[in-house]
Amino acid sequence: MKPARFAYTAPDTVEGTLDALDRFGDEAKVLSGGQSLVPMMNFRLARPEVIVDIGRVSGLDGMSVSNGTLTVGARVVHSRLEAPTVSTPDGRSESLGGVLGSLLPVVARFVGHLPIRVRGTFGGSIAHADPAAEWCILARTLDAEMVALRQGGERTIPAADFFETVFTTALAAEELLVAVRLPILGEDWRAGFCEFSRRAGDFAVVAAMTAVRLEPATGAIAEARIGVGGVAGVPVRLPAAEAMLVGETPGAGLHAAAAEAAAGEVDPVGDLHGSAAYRRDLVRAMVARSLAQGAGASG
Amino acid sequence: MGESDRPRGGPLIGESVLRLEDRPLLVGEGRFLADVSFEGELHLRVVRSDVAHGVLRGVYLDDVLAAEGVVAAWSADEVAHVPAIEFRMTGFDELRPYCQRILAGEYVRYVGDPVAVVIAEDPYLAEDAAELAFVDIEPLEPVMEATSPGAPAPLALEHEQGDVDAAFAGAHRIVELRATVGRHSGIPLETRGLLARPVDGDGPEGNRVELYGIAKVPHYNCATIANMLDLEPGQVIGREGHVGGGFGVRGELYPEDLLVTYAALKLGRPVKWVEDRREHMVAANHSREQAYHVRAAVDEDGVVQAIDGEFFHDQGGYVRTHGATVPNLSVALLPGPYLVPSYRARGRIRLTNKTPAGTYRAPGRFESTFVRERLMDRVANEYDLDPVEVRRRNLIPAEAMPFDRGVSTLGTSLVYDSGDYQRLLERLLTHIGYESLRESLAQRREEGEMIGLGIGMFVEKSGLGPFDDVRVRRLDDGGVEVVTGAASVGQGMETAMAQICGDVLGVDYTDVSVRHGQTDLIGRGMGAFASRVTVMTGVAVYLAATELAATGEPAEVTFNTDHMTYPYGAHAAVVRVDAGTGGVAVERYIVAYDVGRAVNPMLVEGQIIGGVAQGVGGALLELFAYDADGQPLATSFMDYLMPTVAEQPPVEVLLSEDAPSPLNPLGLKGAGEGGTTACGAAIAAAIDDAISRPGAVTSLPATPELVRSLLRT
Repeated sequence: MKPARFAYTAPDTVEGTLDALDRFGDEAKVLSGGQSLVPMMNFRLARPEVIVDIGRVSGLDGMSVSNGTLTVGARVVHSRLEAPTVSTPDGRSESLGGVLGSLLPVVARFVGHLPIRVRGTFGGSIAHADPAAEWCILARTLDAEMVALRQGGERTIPAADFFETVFTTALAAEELLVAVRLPILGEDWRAGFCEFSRRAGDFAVVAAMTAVRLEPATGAIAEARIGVGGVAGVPVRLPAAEAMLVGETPGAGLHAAAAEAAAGEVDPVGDLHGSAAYRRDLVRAMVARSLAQGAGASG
Repeated sequence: MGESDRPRGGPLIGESVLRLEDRPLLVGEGRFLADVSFEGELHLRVVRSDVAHGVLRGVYLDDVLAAEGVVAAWSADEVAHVPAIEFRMTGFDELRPYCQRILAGEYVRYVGDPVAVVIAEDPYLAEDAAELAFVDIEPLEPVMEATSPGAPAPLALEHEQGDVDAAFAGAHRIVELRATVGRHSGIPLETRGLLARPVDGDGPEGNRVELYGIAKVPHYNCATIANMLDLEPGQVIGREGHVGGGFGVRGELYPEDLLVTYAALKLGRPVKWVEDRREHMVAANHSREQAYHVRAAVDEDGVVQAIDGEFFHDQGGYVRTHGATVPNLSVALLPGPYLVPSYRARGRIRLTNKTPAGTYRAPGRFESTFVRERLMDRVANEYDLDPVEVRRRNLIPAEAMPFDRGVSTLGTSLVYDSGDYQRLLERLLTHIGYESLRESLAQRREEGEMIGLGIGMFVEKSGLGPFDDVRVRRLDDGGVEVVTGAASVGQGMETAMAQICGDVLGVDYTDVSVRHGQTDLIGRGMGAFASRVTVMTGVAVYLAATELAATGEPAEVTFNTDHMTYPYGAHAAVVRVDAGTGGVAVERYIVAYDVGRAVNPMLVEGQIIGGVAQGVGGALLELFAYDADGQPLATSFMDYLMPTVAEQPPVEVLLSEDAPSPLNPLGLKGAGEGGTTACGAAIAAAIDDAISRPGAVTSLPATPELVRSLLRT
């Protein structure tokens, strides 16, 4: 369990990083917190020729809000999302409030263990693209946008296009994920997140995030999002179950019906930690609980 | 009393003094195997089969030998003269053909089977080079179940006492159970490892080799290695350092121990091998995998008159040093604390294409206790009796002690030396407030929770002989030195020995230095296993210190015994089941355990709490799963799930000293294993109670998926 031979470079700047990625292309792998990459290298499941360590690159660990969007720098560590704060234009730091501000700590609590949360990064998790990773599920559910830089260019990739399959994203070898943009979710949103893992801190067997927007006048659901991890190569949205919610009023019966639909809509593959049938059971339980959690948050 | 206000020179046996072992560990002076290194050392890497079963057509090492930093690389031909590794315990001629050679020659028999070694200047280069070995294997169909017709079946352990057939013929009711325990094992924090260092000697033995990283049974291993490599016994010296956990697994003699020693002698340089975790998961002994079919002949009062049982023991690809120890203990201790006048058992040893199996904390007892206690719960259910009431009706009464079980195990006849099982059970019930606890749990179930209580009882064994030697002498500085052939696997034996010695001599335990695991300091030694050290070494220390006190002269004594001592216990678990996921959380865990006399109650509690963690792992989480092709599926801590602090319940320990052993002057029994023994039994019963489905859990681990499936039926 010692890594295969690799070269190592640690640029100080984004420009230097992009230069290295441009130079080494497919041979390079970006090292951020190293909480997934380093074990994979030790198991020799990953054998990058060149490690481009972005640990010394400044300017990638900010969080700020503008125009209803939270921008999370790629090197923000998980533990900071347990109590998220954002920089204001006048240089102060304040707690992130609102629905997203309440949701992020709920999700962050499920990311690994504390030692992982203080080293591992938000952007690292997104770029690693484990289909059961909490932040990937969140990004897919909330239609996050990934901001990628390459030498001489920037592009924004919607979550729906970003996650391609297990550990595989739309990022090109020359591109660096620098930030993720998340909608802050206005006060008319209700969101929840539930996860089942065999032990505290493990990757989810199944996790579900739900977010619904309510019509202020009627309390009926105007828009619904259900995202699930652990049932496919990428986190998935469940449009049929989402559609069942729209136009209805939240309640235990509706939640159960949507959860049932969600369990029917996924097509999981079984493994050591859960057969396909069991994963469907977990989808049912996690979606129902996430919806209830969101409804509970509304008071 | 706090440690600081403890009077010096007062009684020490029975005091919860702090551990002598802790200071070096806490200040960073631990010297585990990986911490030891010598100038010029080389690093060994094992090339292992990645096929579960196959014909080994050839091992080609040309590319390995051409790689940077490689000093040597060998396959089986190089070590063809080294015999297969013999049994340390419970050997049978029928099992001998299945002993493991140190490198596989004609066939490979599990994923992880060593086929070659690479020795290089650096561990990274060794691992790089090992990848270049070309191992040509023609795959054969693997045997993955001990119950498969194709599984080699060298031996069945048979036992029969009383008139079993008559008991069944006259039974009021026959209660039957099929139950299985999953494959799991001890996972010490420190993996295995060895550093062999050749040293020039001018003594009669000539050149020698020192072994660092040796553990558990240093004398046995050194003597056996010497014998297998055609050396004189004194030429192989064990230098035990700190050991990060044993649990039955670490310290047995494995192929790697011979390979490292052979390489050091052949190359004339220190050679070091530190097992990595993935290797540990496929190469160190697995344990526990047994499938049972048991029947009980029960009379009209719910008293079990006979048990007739059969089980299949999944031994894996080879029979290692433990021989038939585990199934032997399963057979011997299956009846446990109950009278069971007639008893028949057949333990069928089967070879499969998985990692070879050996002992793991409470070997044979975790398994058989699960089965026996599930059987008693089933009797309770069929007779509509409280599970506790069934146990009361079946327990061996205190008046029957000593109680000859009529069976032999580990070469000794199994006679429970002392015990008041009923009293310990009542103490446990009083502690938990049994009736009111049952009511409150029933109330919570009424309110929609799935919450339940389970109880498991058992008899443990400890203090395996046949001997222990100890030397005690006063040092010039006023201190006392104890030299023993026992070993430390982290259990606190230095402290316990120092307490016994200090108690006798009226010196403080901190002034007693305990030297162990150094094979050139004392001629022979049994090491540390089977909860033997506190009893065997402890009594030897007591006798030697007593002699020293009487004569004023250095004393050397041998304590011999033909019998083991039998501590006993009862576990209670309260668990909560999540109906949606099948997840099980242990809300409360209680262990009542009688050890005769506790030398250091704090250490005993520590043993029990740690034992519960491993029992909870086996009951709920840990499983060495394989696919149909024999590929191991759990080779990292992502897939082999050990309980973390979040899964480990708070443990309430009721330490009992009702029944001192009459077999030794201090009344001691061992304490190493009773925290683990009944975890599977108690947790399974608690899950049944929580989901209101009596007898539902018949296999371990009770995974969430399994529990969820029980809820669907």
